[in-house]
Amino acid sequence: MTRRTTGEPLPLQFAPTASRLPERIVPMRPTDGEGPFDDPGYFFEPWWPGIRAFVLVEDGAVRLRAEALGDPTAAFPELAGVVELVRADGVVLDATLMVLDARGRPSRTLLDQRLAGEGGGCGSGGPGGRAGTSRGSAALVASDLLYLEGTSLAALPFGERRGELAALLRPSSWCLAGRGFIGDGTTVATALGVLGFRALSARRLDAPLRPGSARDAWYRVPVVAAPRELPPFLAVIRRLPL
Amino acid sequence: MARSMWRGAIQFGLVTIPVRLYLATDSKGIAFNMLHASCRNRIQMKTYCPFHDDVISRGDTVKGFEYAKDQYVVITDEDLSSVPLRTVRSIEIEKFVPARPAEDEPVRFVKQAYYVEPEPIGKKAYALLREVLAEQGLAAICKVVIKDREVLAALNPHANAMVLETLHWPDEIRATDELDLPSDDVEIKPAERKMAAQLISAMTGEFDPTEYRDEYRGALEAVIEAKVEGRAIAEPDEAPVGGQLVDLMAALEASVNAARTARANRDEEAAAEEAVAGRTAAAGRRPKKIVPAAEDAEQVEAPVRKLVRRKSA
Repeated sequence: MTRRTTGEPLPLQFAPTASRLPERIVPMRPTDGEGPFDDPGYFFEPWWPGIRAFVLVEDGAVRLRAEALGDPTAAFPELAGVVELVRADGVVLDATLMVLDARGRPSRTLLDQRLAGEGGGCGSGGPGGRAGTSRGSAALVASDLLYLEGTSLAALPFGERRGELAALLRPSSWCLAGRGFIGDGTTVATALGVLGFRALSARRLDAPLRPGSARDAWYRVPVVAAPRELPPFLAVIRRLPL
Repeated sequence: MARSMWRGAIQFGLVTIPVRLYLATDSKGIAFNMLHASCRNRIQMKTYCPFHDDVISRGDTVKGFEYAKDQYVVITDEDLSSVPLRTVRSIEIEKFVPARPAEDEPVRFVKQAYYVEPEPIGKKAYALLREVLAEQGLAAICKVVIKDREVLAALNPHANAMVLETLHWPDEIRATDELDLPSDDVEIKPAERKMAAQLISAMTGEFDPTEYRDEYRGALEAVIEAKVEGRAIAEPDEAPVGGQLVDLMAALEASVNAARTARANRDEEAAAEEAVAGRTAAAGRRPKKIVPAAEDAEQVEAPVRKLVRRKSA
């Protein structure tokens, strides 16, 4: 792909700052889908159970922007390690932030505890201390790349942004680009139901980023949960997270 | 090596190999002593005779066998050594069997392993027996009396030595009847089987015992050490072992592959049915599937590593 050297007019508000990255990010919001579908023009991946977070990597530092939470960076000191996994600077990732329990399953409770500790400043380890990190471990699954080398990728089609993301992010045990599948959304939905996911993300491969409603560029599709009574062999799978 | 546990001879046919047995394994658990809670002094267990109302020494005791309620017969060491059984001082080989139990053979429940060392006079016969067992892939099933008990045992070659594994008698092994086990007619779909097989194959490797250690003991030792040195006890480390998100991705992958296989099977079956009904499969009422098979589905993805449980080869 061609990498732009100058930013195009962005659908984002800039504050006067030395940073190349925007002070405020207006996210693209998914449309609620009715049910799983097959379409070779769409990319299907799990709707990871966590909070949506934008991860800004600039000058060797990592900042987080989460919806309605402002800056939860201090509650997740271990995310500073993202710097070492990203092969470029001036990067903004669109990601899902989760907290995994001791068995590696995403835990809403642990996530809320982390966020609450950050807000109230009641952590015994002081601000930004390690006190919060003893409960579960933070994990990031990146799904989109918004900025690269300080330049917005908003005009690129999603497929190309995703390709850039895969090339940019060195996968680690706690931070990686999510696994996704093109085309057979109904099959992926079935598989997600078995694993206990509640929803499926369907993104149109040729759609650029647009702030606000995504219209047909991105759907959040509910997934029907698999029957609760699992065949005995699933005990094997249940040892895995989720 | 520590003191031998047992002296005697391996017997088979007319061959006698004088040997000693040594415990092959140590129990490495951490032992605690009982202290009196208030004064922290070590308590003593005294041998007490209620008839004399007195503490007696162990030397003043004899073995008694309760043959009826409160009726005992005294068994002396002489009685024990006069037990008319050949296995008292010998390891009596009964039969040679394949070293590894065959699949339909019951599991050999091992009690304890002993190293077998030849007395100087038996070295050659010992080496010969070991060589032949190793060469033929055989183990010797034998009987021996150890600590007042006749036990069943298997004699196996082990590197340049032999190991005697004492086994449980068949009537000591409990039946599995009382367990709530899945019946044979549990319905397992091919897709489920495949999914389980994929997960298992991703975690399959060689068994190397040196990869494993007793983590509980290590943690307990650390707690004790910290207490000895007066430090605070470290909180249990909840930090994840590596590979958690990778595991999630692998589970996802396996699940999607299984779902694809299941769907492909269903479609094949449906196509066959429709062909029988004299219709073309393409005219089926099912919604048109745009990406037909797993191989054709191109994937844009991060280079997610496979399960990383295995050690780097």
